[in-house]
Order: sequence, then structure tokens, then C-alpha cells
Amino acid sequence: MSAEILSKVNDLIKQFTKSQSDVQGQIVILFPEGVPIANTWKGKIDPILVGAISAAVKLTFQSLCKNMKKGNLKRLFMNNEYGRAIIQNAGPKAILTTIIDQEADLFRIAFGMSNLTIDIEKLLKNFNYDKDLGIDLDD
Amino acid sequence: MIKMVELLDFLKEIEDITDINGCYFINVEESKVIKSTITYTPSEEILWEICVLRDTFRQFSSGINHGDLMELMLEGDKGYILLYNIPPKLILLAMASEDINLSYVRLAMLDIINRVRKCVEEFGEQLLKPPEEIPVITIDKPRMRHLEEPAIKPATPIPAKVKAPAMPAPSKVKAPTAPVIQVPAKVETPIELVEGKGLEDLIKSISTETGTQRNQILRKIFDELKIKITKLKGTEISKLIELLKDTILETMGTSLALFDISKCAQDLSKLNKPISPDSIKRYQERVENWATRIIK
Repeated sequence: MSAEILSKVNDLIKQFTKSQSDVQGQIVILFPEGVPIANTWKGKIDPILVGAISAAVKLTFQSLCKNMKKGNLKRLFMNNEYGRAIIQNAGPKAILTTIIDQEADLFRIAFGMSNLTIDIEKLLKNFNYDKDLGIDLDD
Repeated sequence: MIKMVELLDFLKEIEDITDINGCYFINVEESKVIKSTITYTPSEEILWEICVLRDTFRQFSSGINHGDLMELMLEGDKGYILLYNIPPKLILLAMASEDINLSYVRLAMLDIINRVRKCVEEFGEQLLKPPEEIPVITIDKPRMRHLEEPAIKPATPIPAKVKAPAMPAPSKVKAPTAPVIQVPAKVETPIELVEGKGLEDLIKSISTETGTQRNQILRKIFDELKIKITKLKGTEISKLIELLKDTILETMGTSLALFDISKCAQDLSKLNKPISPDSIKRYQERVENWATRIIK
């Protein structure tokens, strides 16, 4: 059952990544386990780092927003020297990270991501994490 | 030629030309606000985490081949928080309401941040000195119009860890009074803290305990770790810390502290000698910091 759910989540993000030419890849990270469960990003990332990112979004930045009276954290935009990333909650159990080009249309992608996260949340509603299901980002 | 501009003047400029209300400069090394336009300051815990997160996101950014981190923007239901990375050790944090013209703000910030970066590059330490006292800077009332009053809680004092009662040393020196009641020494300790067991075993035992028991074990582990830091080689401590990280990750899930633990283990793995006396306190504080984050 869990494997079936994961395969559906994978299909969803594959479809999204394919449909947006400026999206370089997406990673769905389970919380609180901090493990990637679906991935279209072709590259190496430290799994501990991925876990820390999920904790940052779910815990630190969420509480920063609350403390600063900015409500619940909806998403996080990250601007880097050569690219961008949007990190968004996908329900209580996961976050979705989308890695995009420097020149990408941030708001179009963020809009698309909102729908995607709703679908991911629905799929993960009855998902039970099994260690064997985690994805190795070192591939 | 770059003119030296006070950091506070940059903050005032940001508030003058944009609708941002409330911004800070945070010194990452000290995890402290060094300049601010409002009196409210995030808690020490949050400041510390923001500073650690800068490194986390910088690594993530370089991990995905995007170069260095420039900016993080948090979008909340009721507004935005902007965080700018200003190397080597500054973060600019700015707050904006939900109806702000984001494109305009980001455009304006581009220029200001550029100038701040150049100024910091040129004058460095002169600008970065933290104030002697907590910055209390008043701002003009009109600028306060969007500012929802942050609930200023009395800064939650980091509970001074009451070390003594946690692990009372078994009182071997018993009063020589007559009918000695055979009270087993264990009664005094809240948990049977595995006499003779090494720190490694103690760490492994985390996975078999739950709730209060687990927290007591964790407390003991962190206290022991602080002692070990004064005695063992960096490589040895690194192994212990690595084991601790893996066990916590498997048992309790991820947390930001784990990332710092992992980084610390990596740093220490290169040190094939005891930690230098002037660094010991820093490492011990770091361990205490993990304790406050992990033990809930």
C-alpha cells in the first residue's frame, strides 16, 4: 500500500517537473522522519541536510512566523546566486521542495505547487513510513 | 570610494523607502541582534536557529549547484519575513505586511543590500560590534502603522540547568549514626543510570526508552558529553556524537539540532588530539544547546 502511494507521489511530481520547463527538480521530504520519499532532482544532496531543511520549515520558520505575527508559514522562497527554490508544506507529514532556474517565473510555479501540495497531502493521508521506502539522494 | 555608513542608517533607509516595518541586523557568530529599528527581539533560541539555518541553506544551495545563498523569503498568512545573507557573518531580517508591494520592496532591497555588502566588506569589524546593551531604538510613530504589536513575552530565560539534583552523587560517606536504614542509593536517582555502562551504551539505550525516561537518559548523555569534551580526542568525540545523531534520528526523527550535531561531528573528526582549552567552553555550550532543543 505504502509503495503504491509513493509511486503515485512520484508520478505526480514527475508530471509537474516535466510540464514546467524551468523546474530543475522536485523532492518530497517526509516529516518528522526527514527522509526524501519522492524525487525528480538528478543530483547529490546530503540526506541530513534534507532533514534539516524539513525541520527548518516545519519548526523554526513556522515558529518565527508565529512569533513575528505573520501567521502560519505558507511557503519559503530561496534566492541563490544561480538559481531559486521554493519550499512548501505538503500537509502535516511532508514538505515539497522545487528547484528552479534563476529566470523562472516564481509565482507561476508557486501557484502550480499549491495544487500539487494538496494532491500530495491527500495521497499521504494514510501513508505509513517504512524505512525501506526512503530514497537515496546520493544516486 | 566607499563611505562608511552605520548599519542602523541602512535599516532606517529601508524603512523610509519601502513599507517594511521592523528590521534587524543579526550577527551570526554571536547569534545576537546588533542593530534594530524596533524594540521587539526574537527569542535567543530562534536567533540561534536562524543563524544555524543560514549555514544549512547555504549548504543546500551549493549542494544543488546554485552557488551561495542570497535571500530567503518566508510567506506567512499575514505577511512576509525577508532574510538576507550578508557574508561573512551578517543576516538582515526584515518584516513586511501581507499587502506590501513585493516587487518594489525586492527591487529596493537589491540596491541597499548591495551597498551593505560592500560596506561590510570594506569596514568589517568596525560595523559589526554588538551593542553593549540591548538595542532600544525608537521609531517614528507613522512607520508603526502596519506593525501588529508582537506579543512581547518576558524573554523566556533559558532554564539554568539545575545540575545538582539531576545526578546526585551517591553519598558513600554515610553518617555514622546507629541503625543505618538500608536505603538503596538508586532511590535518589530518577533513573537507573547504568553504572559502569559507557557513554556508547547509554546512547544506544535511547532507542529502548520513551517519554520521561528517554529525556532523563538524554540529559545524562549531554552532561557526560560535556565532560568527555574536556578529556577525549576530537576524533573520539566525533564518533560518539555521530552515534548520538544516528540514534536520535532513528528514534525521534529529524530536528535542526541534528544538523548542527552532524556538522560538529564532521569538524571534530579531523581533530586527532584533545580539544584546545579555549575551544572547550564553546563546544560545551553547543552541547547544552542541543540538549535544550532535543529534550522536550
